[in-house]
Amino acid sequence: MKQIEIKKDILSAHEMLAQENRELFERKGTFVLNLMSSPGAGKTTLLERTIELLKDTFSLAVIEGDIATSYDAERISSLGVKVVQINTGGACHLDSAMIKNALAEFSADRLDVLIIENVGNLVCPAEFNLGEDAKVMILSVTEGEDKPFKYPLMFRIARVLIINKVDLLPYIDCSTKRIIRDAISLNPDLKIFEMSCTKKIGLNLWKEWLKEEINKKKYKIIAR
Amino acid sequence: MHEYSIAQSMMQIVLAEAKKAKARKVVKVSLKIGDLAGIFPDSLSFCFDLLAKDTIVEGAALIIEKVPLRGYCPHCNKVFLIKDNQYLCQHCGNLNIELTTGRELQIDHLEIEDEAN
Repeated sequence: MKQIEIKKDILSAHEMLAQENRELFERKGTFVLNLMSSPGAGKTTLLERTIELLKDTFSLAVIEGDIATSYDAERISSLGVKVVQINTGGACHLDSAMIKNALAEFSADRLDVLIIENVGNLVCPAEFNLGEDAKVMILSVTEGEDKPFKYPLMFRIARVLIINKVDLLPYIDCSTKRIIRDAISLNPDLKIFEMSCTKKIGLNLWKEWLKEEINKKKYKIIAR
Repeated sequence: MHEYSIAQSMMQIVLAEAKKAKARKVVKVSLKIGDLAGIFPDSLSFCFDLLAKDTIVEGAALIIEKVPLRGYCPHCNKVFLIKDNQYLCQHCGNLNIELTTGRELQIDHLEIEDEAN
């Protein structure tokens, strides 16, 4: 019997592809968002609102991840935005290899923004880097205020937290104060927005943040 | 739920390393899994056994060593355990800590039978 040292990260192959994606986005000056949440928290509605906010100013495209169906892709392409659908066929998350394949569809496009909608799930997508600039997680108030401590990895790795469906707060027992306090204790650098995507509440601050980040990335290639 | 993809990636590395070492059989695969990694060990073992079937890894023991979550405070220059989601320095209360361990998803070592034995 012989023991051999490996000391290798299981996801190292994924990590390498994520790095390749990241370098491609750097070269093209494309700002990339990875939207993650549980099913039904409002990812697709946030995506629709975000497209409306940005499409007159920036060139943008979308990658839709779903286990099955192209319902979301149809919703998005009706807004006149190029969308590539990835059906994971059962897998609970997107990974860097799937994104790399999907990027072939955009090879000729000059994109300011690429928005990736991950599969609805608060656990697995947190473990897989795609090469994005910002992991954006959406928590709707109807899911309950105890979620940050139940899903610590997701809250720890996210750069942005969107607390969605705040228009429903008068009808339910949920304190956004507690969500914010617990989320910040897991991740002090977390940028937080409170919104209702269906009622179009709180969208302005989100738009301002996005514009600044998109421009930063875009002008980095010019400055080089 | 993503244990199957993790097991697949793991198996690719194990088979490649075993081949490099000219293994006849892999007897043990030893992993380090951080407490913050969203991995359910039983489910990972199940997927591992499934994928190992009909390979030189079939029947290998999968040993999972859990790694506790630890933080480092640059102010105090100290490392401490993080318990009950208390992501702050246990000495000065600083929130801007770095995680030093707890996110591992690593193959630590293998035990093999090689051509010599």
